[in-house]
Amino acid sequence: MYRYILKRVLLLIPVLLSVIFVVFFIMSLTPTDAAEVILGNDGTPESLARLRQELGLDKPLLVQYVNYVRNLLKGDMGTSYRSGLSISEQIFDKLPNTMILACSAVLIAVLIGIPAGIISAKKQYTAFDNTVTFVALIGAAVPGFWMGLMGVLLFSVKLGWLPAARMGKTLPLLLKSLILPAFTVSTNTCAMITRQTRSSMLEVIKQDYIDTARSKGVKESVVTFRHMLSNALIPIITVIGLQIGVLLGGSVITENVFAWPGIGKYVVDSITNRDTPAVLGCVVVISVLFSLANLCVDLLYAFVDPRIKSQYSK
Amino acid sequence: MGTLLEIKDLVIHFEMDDGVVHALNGVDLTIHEGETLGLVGETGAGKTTLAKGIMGLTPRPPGKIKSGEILYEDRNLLTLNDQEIREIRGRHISMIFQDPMTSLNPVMTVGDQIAEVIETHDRISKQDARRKAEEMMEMVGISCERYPEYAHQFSGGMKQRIVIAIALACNPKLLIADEPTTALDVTIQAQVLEMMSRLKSTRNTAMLLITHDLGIVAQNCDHVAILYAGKVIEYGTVRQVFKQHLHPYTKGLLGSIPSLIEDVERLTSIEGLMPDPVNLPQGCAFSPRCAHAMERCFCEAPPLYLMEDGHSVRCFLCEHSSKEA
Ligand SMILES: Nc1ncnc2c1ncn2[C@@H]1O[C@H](COP(=O)(O)OP(=O)(O)OP(=O)(O)O)[C@@H](O)[C@H]1O
Ligand SMILES: [Mg+2]
Repeated sequence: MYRYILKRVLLLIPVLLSVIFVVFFIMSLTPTDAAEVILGNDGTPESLARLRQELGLDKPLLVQYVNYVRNLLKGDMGTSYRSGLSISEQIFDKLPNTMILACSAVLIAVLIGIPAGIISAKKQYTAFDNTVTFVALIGAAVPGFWMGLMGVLLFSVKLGWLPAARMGKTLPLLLKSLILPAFTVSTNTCAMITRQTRSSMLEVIKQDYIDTARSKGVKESVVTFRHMLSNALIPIITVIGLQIGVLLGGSVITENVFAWPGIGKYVVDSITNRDTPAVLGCVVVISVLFSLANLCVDLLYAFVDPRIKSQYSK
Repeated sequence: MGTLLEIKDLVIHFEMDDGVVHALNGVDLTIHEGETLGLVGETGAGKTTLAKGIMGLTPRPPGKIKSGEILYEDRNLLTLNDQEIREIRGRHISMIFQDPMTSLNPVMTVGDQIAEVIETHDRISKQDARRKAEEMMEMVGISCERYPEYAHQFSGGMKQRIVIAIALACNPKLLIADEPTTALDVTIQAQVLEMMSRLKSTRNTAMLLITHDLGIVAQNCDHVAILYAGKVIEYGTVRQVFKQHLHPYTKGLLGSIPSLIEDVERLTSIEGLMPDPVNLPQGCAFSPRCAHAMERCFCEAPPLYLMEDGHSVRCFLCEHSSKEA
């Protein structure tokens, strides 16, 4: 098992190196000239050339790549072309905000989605099930920003209960400002978790071991959780893990709608500012988080399903 | 021997979109304390439906219990509430399902699955339940060191032993075994059956042994009931049914087992197929395949005729030899 974990962590290294290379290559294709971005209109041809040399932009792409990775290992992602601030500091400033948003959204989605999916499956084809299936379909289909805007219209503009934008500074204000964006982000995730829970529960419900469990005379709640849910968990965990991975990359649209100072907003701002190293830094961090989320899911499998665990230890 | 379980006129249908499956159409059956009753029938005859019906595990929907009573120690199991039926399951009546490969929970240790039924019914601590579960494992011939292992680490025969340990852990009065050995290979079959009958006789457990293997019936059962299209068409002691069978269907069934002693030219098998339970024929369900069918067999369903010696048959041919006649 530990060898398996180690192997998986080591495997992350080539994955990340390739991701960085691809991003590097794509960025080099854009016609943005960093020196022009930094100096703006005041740049003379000589000063521009000098700056390019200082930044190492005149070197071949591969050399730039190696230099970037070498700096990255020291935790240095360069400085922003616009603000001149350290990019790693900027990112780690914003990352917690995104994490708060992502984690609360996933928490909401899990707390609503899993029970809804379970009840729906156990009462298949009843009015409750049909309603849940319909609502989940809408939740999966409606774009997040529309939900967000509608929420703002209703709860901020009309009712005035919740702030329309910006993150609160104190804990109560923070929680209050979190409600709208968190529910907005969780809509899609919640719909996906509900649908996945329902379908994998339906798969498990008709298995023979459920009859065995019932024939022992155990309570229906025990049958549901100990025997059904624990067997239905693998696909549910997969969906949750993927969603955490995606959301940790910042919900670009929601963060912009609610002016939430997270990494999603930062990446959009950096793109509009043509701030290449900032964008690159964001992509690197996002891909690390995404890979880690996936790794966690894979490791969780082993705890949920002994059959998978025995494959890992081989 | 006292009566343990009495089924009266049990009718179970499955209401599907494309028609009603008449799985059980008025089953009457009695199981005595400590005896083994064999239930024999072709595939689709309704054997599993009957077994699950007794356990209160008929899937509803689509299943529907149209009428009947299942009397266990004078209580009708069909009218019990959820909690009362849970107290019966596992403690008084337990069941072994058809396929051992899929009857164990894959993510729970086998030991815990045995201990679970003990904890449910006996008011004892977790450690005591574990100790008792380990004893049960030893009793079915599996080392208790394997308590923390999972179903995928066991062979089919061993899984069935675990299932048997679960079923017998609380000393039930009735064990329903739905084709307990069909999925196992022949040598293991014999071992498992031998173990089951040993355990059942030491504990005086009655057993409803469902099978379509007449050899198993001959070796293990006291009484036999033959089920055809959801009705019992012949019931009697093993001797009566094997030596003095009265129903043409039973005769056909027995004719289809190869015999080593008698030198038969070729095996007789019954012409045709069991009728589709969605469209049962009017009259006797066996009439379309019966060589002795008379005109009335096609329009009138025969009742169960009881003979002097307790043997009973659902066939007009026996009308005159029955007790009432
Ligand atoms: N859940 C269900 N839904 C619909 N029809 C069912 C269901 N369970 C059983 N049936 C139908 O009821 C009839 C009797 O089935 P049952 O499983 O009792 O047969 P069986 O005698 O156990 O057969 P086998 O020897 O193959 O196990 C069959 O026609 C079957 O299709
Ligand atoms: Mg069956």
